[in-house]
Amino acid sequence: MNPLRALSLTRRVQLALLVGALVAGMVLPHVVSSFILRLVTLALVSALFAMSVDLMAGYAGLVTIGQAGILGTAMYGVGYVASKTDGGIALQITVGFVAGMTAAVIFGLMAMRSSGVYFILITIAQGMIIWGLASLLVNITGAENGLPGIRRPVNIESGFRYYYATLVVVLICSLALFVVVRSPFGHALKGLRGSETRVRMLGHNSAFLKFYMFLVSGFFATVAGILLVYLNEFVNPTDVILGASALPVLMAILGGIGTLIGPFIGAFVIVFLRNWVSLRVDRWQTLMGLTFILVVLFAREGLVGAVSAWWHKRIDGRDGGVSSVLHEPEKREAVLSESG
Amino acid sequence: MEHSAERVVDTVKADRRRVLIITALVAIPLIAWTLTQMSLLSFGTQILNGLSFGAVLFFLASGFTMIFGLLRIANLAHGGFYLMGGYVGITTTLVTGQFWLGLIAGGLAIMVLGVFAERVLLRRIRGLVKPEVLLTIGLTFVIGDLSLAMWGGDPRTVPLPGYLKGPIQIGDSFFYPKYRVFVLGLAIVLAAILFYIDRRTKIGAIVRAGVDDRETVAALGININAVFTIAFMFGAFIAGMSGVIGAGFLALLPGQDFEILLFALVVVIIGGLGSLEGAVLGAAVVGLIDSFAKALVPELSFFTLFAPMAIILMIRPNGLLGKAP
Amino acid sequence: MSLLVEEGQRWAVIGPNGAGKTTLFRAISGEVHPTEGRVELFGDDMTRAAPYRKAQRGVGRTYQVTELFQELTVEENLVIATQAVTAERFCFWRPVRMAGELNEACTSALEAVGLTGARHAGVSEMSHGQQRQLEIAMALASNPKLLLLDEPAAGLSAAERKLMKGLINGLPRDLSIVLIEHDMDIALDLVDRVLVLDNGQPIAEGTPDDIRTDQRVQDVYLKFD
Repeated sequence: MNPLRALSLTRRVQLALLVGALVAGMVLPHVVSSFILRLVTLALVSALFAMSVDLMAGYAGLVTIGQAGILGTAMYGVGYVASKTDGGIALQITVGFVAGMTAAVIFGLMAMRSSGVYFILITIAQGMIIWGLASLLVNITGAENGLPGIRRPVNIESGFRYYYATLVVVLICSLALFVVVRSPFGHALKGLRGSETRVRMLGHNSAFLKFYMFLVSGFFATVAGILLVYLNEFVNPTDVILGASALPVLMAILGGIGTLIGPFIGAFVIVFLRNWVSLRVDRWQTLMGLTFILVVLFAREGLVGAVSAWWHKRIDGRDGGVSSVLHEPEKREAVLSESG
Repeated sequence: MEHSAERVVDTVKADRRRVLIITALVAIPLIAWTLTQMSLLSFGTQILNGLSFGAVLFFLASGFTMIFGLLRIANLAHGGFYLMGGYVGITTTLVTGQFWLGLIAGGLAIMVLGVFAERVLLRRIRGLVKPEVLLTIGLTFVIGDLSLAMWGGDPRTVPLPGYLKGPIQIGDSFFYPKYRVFVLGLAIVLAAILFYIDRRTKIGAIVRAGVDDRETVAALGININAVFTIAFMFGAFIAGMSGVIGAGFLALLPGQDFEILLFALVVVIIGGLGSLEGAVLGAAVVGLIDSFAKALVPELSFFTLFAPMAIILMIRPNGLLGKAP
Repeated sequence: MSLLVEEGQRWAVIGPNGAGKTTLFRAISGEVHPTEGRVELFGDDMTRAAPYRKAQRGVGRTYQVTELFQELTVEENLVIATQAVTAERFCFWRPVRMAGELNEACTSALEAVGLTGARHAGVSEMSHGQQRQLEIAMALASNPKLLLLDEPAAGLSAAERKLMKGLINGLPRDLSIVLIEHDMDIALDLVDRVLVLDNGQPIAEGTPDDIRTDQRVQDVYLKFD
C-alpha cells in the first residue's frame, strides 16, 4: 500500500471535517435556539481557554491548574472599568488585556524555575490566591456580589452577533496557535516536555523559556477572558475558583492532550454535558470529579487519540495514533550521564 | 570523596544560615512595626491565634508532605479529606456525645477512604506523576460535592467537651481559649512523635531510605507497596482528624476544602516538599502571617500570603528547606 | 591537572572506568561546578557559568547514553538544537518549515552525519547506530567551536564503528574536539593529542604515538582490562 496515498486520504478526511465544521459554525445561528447558541458560544470560548492550557500542559508537559487566575484577572479588568468607571469599550478591553498579561507575567516569574509536581502546586496556589483576592477586595471586585453592569459593545450586543464575533476571534486565535505549536518556540516547548535538562544543555535558558510560555499562553487565556466576560456580562469569584482552572485541563485530557483539536472537542463535550446534567441533578461537581478520575485511569489518549487509533487500524492501515502525552513516565532529570 | 561530602554539608549549612539571616532581617522590622500597631496583649493573642491555626495547618501539611516524600504523590484530595473527616467527626460527636470518639471516627473514616484511593485508584497509575495529581483533583471534587449533599451548606462546628470550653488564664489579665491551647499542644505532641519516628525508629529508617531510593528498599526484602499503603493510611488518618480538630474553632463549610488545601500548599511550597522541618516552619510562618494580616490589613490577607510565597519561590524554587535543584 | 585545547585541536581523553573522564566533561559543559580549579572557554573564565550559557558560547556535547527526545522526530530534535543558540528560539509567529536558515542548518547537520533520508523519521524507530549519529548532528547543529564527544562509538557494531570513525574524521578541521573513547583504535587514530586519566589524576599526556609506547599507560590498562 502506498503510504503517501493513505496519508492523503487521512488529510482529505481531515480537510473535509474542517470545512464541514466551518460551514456548520457559519449556519448554526440560523438553525438552533438562542439558548443552544449561547452554549456554543461558551464552548468556543472554553475551547480557546483549554487550548491555552494545553500549550503548557500538553506541549510543554507543564500542567497548570491556575490558568483561571489569568482568565479571571482579565475579566475583572474589563469588569472594573465597565462597572466602576465610565470608561468605554476600548478602555475596558485595554485594561482587561493589561490585567490578564500582568497576571501572566507574575505567574511566570513565580513558576519559571520549577517543574513537575512543584509546578502544578505553584499554579494551583496562584489560581486560588486570585480567587482569594477576588473574594476579599470588595472595593475593586465587589466580592461575592461580583461586578454587574458590564455590557457588550453595541454593534455585537445580540447573542446572534456576539456568536459570530466570538467565532471569528476564536478562529483567528486557533490559527495563531496552530502556527505557534509548529514554530521554533513550539518545538522548544516540546523539548521541555521531553527533558528540561537536555534542553538546557543544548543552550536554551529553560527558565526564560517557561516565562515566555506563560506570556504566549497567557495571551490566549486573556483573550478568552475578555470574550467570556462580555458573554456573561458579569464576573464574580466563581469564575476563578479551583474548578474553573481544573475544567480546561479536563477538557484537554478528555479531548486529547498535546493536540489542538483535542481541547476544542473536549470543550464542546464538557460544556454540553455540564448543561445537560445541571438541568437534571445538582451534582455537576461529582460528575466532573468522576470524569477526571475515569479519563485519567481509562481514556489516557482522550477522544482524539481513540478516534485516530481506530482510524489508523481500520481505514488507513498504519499502526500508531496518538500516544498519551500525560502518561509519559517522568524523566530522570538530575544526572544525564553515568560517571566514566 | 569524603572531603567533597563534607564540603557539600558545609554548603548546605551555610545556605541554611543565609536563609535564617535573611528571614530574621525581614521579620524583625515587621515585628517591630506590628508592635507599634497593637498592644502587647493583643500581640500575644495574635501570636497564639497564628500558632494554633498553624497547628491545624501542620496536621494537614505533615501528612501531605509525608505522602509526597514517600510515594511522590501530591495528594490534592487532602483538603477534601480534611472537610469530610471534620463532618464525620461532628456527626459522631453529636450522636455519641463524645468528642474523642468524633476525633477518632473522623480519622478512621478518612483512613478507609485513603486506602481505597491508594489501592484501587492510584495504584493503577503508580509513578505517573501528572495523572496521579489529576486523579486526586478529581477525587477532591467528588468528596467536596458529596459532603455538600450529605451535610448541607451551613457552617458547622464540633461541640466541645466542657473541659475544653472557655478561656484559660495566663498571668493576671491574659485570657485565651483553652481549646486553641489544646490544639497547639496536640500539634507539638504530633511533631515530636513524627520526628521520633523519622529519626529514631526502624520504620523511620525505612521511610527515609524509601524516599531516597525505592529500588534499594525493595531489594532489601521490604514490601514497599505495604509501606506505601501504610504511609497513605497514616497521612489520611491525620488529615481526617485534623478536620475534626479544626472544626473546633474554624467552622466547616463547602469550599473550605479548597481553602485549607491552599494554605497547606503554601506551607509545603514555602517549607519545601517532603521535608518535616519544612512543614513545621512553613505552618508556623503561614499561621502567623495569616493571623497578623487578618488583624492589621484584613482586605489584603491573601496578598500577604502570596507575596512571601512569590519572593521565596524566585529565590529558592524548591522552598526554604527543600533540596537544592 | 590541566588541559589546554587549542583551536582546531583534537584531543582524546582515555583511562579506565571511574577515572573521571565524564566528570571532566561535566565540568567543562557546566553540568557540575568544580569545587576547585577553573574552566576557561574561548578566553573567558566560565567556571561557574550555567550550561546553557556555555552552549551558547559554542560548546557542543554528546552523551555516553543517548540523550535524544525519543518521542519527537529527527527534524524536531534538530530544530530544538539548532535554534537554541539563535534568536529563532523566541520565534512563535511562523512555522519551522518557513524558517529558511533553520531548515538549512538542519539539512547541513543531517548531511554531515549522513542521515539526510531519515529527516522525518521518529527517533524511537531508529537503530542505535543512527541515534548515535543523530546525537552528533544535534551537537553540530548549534555550530559549536568546541565539541565534546562522550564515547561516540559506545554500543556500536564493528561496521558502525568504522562509519562513526569516518564521520568524526570528516568533521571540519577548525572545530576543536575532545573525545572520550574506550576503543583505543578509534581514539588514537582520530586525534592530535591524548590525555590519560587514572583515578582522577592525569598519568600521561602526549601524541598518540607517545601514548602507544608509554609504559605507565600500558600498566594502567593491563591492570584493568
